[in-house]
Amino acid sequence: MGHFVGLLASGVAQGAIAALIALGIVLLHQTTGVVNFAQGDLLTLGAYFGVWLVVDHGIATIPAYLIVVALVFGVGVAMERIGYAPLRRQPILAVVISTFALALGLRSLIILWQGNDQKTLPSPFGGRVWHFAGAAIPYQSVLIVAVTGVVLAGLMLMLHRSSIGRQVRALAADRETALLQGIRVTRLSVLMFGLSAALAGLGGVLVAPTLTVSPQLGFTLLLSSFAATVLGGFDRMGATVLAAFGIAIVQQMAAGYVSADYVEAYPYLILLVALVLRPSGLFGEVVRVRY
Amino acid sequence: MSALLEVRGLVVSYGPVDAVRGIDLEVGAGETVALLGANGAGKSSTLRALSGLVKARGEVRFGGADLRRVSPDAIARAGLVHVPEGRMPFRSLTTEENLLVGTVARGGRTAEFALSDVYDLFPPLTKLRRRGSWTLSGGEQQMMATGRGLLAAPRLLLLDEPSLGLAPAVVDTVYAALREVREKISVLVVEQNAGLALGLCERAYVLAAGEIAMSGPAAELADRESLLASYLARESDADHEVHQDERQAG
Repeated sequence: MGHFVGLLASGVAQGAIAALIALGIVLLHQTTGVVNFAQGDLLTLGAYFGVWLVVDHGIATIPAYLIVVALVFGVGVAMERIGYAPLRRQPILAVVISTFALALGLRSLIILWQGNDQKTLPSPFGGRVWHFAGAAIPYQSVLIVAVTGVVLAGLMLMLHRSSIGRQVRALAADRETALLQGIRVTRLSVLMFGLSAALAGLGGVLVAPTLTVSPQLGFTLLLSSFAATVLGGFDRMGATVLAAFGIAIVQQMAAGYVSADYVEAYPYLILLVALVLRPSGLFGEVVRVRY
Repeated sequence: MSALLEVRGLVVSYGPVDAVRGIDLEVGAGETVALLGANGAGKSSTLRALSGLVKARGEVRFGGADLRRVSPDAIARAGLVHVPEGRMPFRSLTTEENLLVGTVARGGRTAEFALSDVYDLFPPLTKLRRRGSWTLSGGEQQMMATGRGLLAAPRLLLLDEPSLGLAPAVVDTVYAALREVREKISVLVVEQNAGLALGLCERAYVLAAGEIAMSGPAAELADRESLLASYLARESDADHEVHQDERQAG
């Protein structure tokens, strides 16, 4: 029982991180058409900013986390200026490839700045754990899930209850009509780049204490978030969040009960099986094509 | 006296094809003007050029300001508001959310029609407020799109084919509302249904093959019924011939 609860808890915590990354991908894709492959490296950057602020400068946890989110938001805005704005009249594939370039550039800059050595970011709770149903759950995992929950709720409120949120959803639904309604599409694109980067940065600083921080950190996590966006059908935020949690939980269970050697392959196995059964994503309507 | 909207020598090209070939057009403040023509005559291209969606050559002045090189969203915020063909609801938003998006383009102007006025103008929308806009019928979507345009506090409302594909009873509702709208707001309406548009408007232009073929007071155009009919039918006949050619070739 304790083993099961422990695996479940770590699955939920990893699912929360994957959900933050995946939501950033979906939000940006919906509003600008861009699939941002730098999302994983923005997470890595968030983790390193965390190490830099907390370990190197001794800044307290809460202000440090907030500064990290603000800094990564700024990096996202810079990415829009460098990698998207100049290519606005080019095919979207050019932009997607430019996000690849930005991802590699960002990773190189991180290595230049922090080196290739692994770093650790201590949890504000130290190594303390919560004993629950026979399992020892790190307080950092509880923090990850709580913060993600608050951020998701805030994001949903913003999207559904504010004028700016309505504009984002209108832009996602129909770019041309959004222009005809006077929505400042350019400004919103900048905001979305910043917001999706900030989500990844937050994921990075939250997950860092549970792992070791290395320049490859985000890329590994990006792959399983990407599986979640595909399963969620690339357009439904609720479905994407559910898929992120589902994949992470199955991944942890498989690692615990089957074999831990393939832990990084499980998301693809899940994706593969799910796509064979439901080609348009778990929650999409299956469109039947008659020949 | 300068008109609210002044268009001189407007040309819209798609590759080597000129859809609009140098037209002049004016809409005065408080005026209701129709732009008539058959399918493919260049009506929608003209509207899309005015609202900045397609590149065009020529001069477009709105309220005295030059609209060349102004982005479509800035044109909308300046009060030139385009209700597009096909209504184009934001499908993932509810009816009321769609209407509220309209207020984004207000830019500090006071709207002649507030949200409650839009519901008064289009009573069927009241019950549909919380419904997803993708569930609305074509007529309901047209009412919603028109309401969304009105909430933007337009100085000139551009309507593209507001009666297209609607049942006669629904067309009556929409046009009854437009008769109220024109009392307060300048309107440029594109229509294939000449009778409807001439009944609403003071003046009209008739487009044929991208050029202005006729223009004048609505009553005069309505009197020259057979000439008008020949312009409105011409392009669809041409279409017909093309199809026949294709059939013979196939």
